[in-house]
Amino acid sequence: MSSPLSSPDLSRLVDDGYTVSITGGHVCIADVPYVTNECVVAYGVLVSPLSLAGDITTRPSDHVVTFAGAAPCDRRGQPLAAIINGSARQVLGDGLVVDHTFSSKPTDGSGYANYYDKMTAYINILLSEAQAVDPNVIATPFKPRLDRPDDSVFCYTDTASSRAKISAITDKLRVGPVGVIGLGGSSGYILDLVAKTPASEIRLFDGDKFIQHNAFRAPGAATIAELGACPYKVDYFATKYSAIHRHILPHASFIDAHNVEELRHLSFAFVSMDDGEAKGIVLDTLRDLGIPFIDVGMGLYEIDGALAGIVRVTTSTPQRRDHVSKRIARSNLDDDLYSTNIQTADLNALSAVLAVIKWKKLLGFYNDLDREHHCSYEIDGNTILNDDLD
Amino acid sequence: VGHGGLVRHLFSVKAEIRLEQENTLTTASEPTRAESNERTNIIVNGRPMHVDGDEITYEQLVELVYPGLPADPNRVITITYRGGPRENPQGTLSPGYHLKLKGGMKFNVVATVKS
Repeated sequence: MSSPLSSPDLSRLVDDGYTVSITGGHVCIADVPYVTNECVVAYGVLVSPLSLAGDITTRPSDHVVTFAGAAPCDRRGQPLAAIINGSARQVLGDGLVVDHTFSSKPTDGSGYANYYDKMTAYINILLSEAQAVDPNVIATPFKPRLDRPDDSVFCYTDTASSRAKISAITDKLRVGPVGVIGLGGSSGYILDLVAKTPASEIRLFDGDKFIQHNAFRAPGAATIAELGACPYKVDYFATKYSAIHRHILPHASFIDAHNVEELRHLSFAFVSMDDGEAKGIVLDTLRDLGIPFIDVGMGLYEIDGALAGIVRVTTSTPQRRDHVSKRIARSNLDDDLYSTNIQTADLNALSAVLAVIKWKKLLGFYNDLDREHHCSYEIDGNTILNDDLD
Repeated sequence: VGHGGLVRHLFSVKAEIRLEQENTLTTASEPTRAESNERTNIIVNGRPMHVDGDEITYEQLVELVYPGLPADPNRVITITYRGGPRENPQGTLSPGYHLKLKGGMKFNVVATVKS
């Protein structure tokens, strides 16, 4: 996959922080400051058609650009007659509508060598007048932008890490495929967090459909149309989160003895399953394959009209697995007699947050002094208990 | 005798735990380390209960919350506690282990299996 934005002149505009996009064969730069006839700063969009060869820019075919916005003026509110060549609304297609045409030839008369020179020449004319009105005005706001193709798992650049200057620490999360096994309430929130990490792939395993009650224990907000389509959970979540992470792979089946092989290449697995017997097969397989995992589960009960209980997060690594059998059930209680199916979105989210924090600790993203492998949150005491410390 | 039978045996012979909800709290003693012959007031899953003696086992706590649960070696009930005596002030209780009791000690006993 290629994009005109990989052209050197356009990528330089991007790198400088201009708000660059490609629309219908045009390069558009938004957030361009200019002065209106009322001597206030406004922002418009500068548009130029692109000349491309194999999706790479060539020398601009002319020196003219168009502009969406009011008539730009100088610092005293007088129209910039030196560059305004015409003012008439033009529909360029693909949703592009412009109001003015600018014409300003380079002083040497040879035309612009590239789109960087062409666009910045006009921007600087408008910007200098705007900065005379307000010295704090900039034309390079560094807004979120499309990533260049194929160099990231993300659909757009992770500016959260670069902005916080933790990109080197975030690099520790550049791990191989991460499995999310069982897509109950907790796993939705696990995906919500893992999708924002640079893990190479996120593989979702669940054979259930996403139905109405699931929407009340899932991150974000499902539309009624999405519910009406009765998608598999894995497809619903893969579609939602493909808006940010490009490699989310849905597997619309439960893991059982027939397809455990699908777990083989995972770097890590988050396990969140109601069925204890099926979970036992998964945990044995992960152990045999040497794959570290975190299992989350909760148990809630009602007491005098209020809910309480425990949220549990249990970690198993190739170096530490001996505690698993006494911490994680692999049989099913008779729900009618002994158990409830009470779960709530906030406790699902809490278990997911605790699990993802622990995963990041295992990868060295967070410091981990106590190195617990079992964590229990008591709701009625707001207490976190750590067990199975290294 | 199966696991469940053993639990019930221990439960009935050794601990003499009464399940009735406490409606007649005595005001005699501050929460302190329990004595072996005294009745101890504890809170299990938010509900006040009386326990005879100064110790309680994992299995007895499971029986309090899930009476008559059939034996199953693959089952795990998560038990947490806090407000205990200095020997075991706070933590997680595993199968086969027991705790020293203290008045007012709080327990959560629940299968943590929902996802």
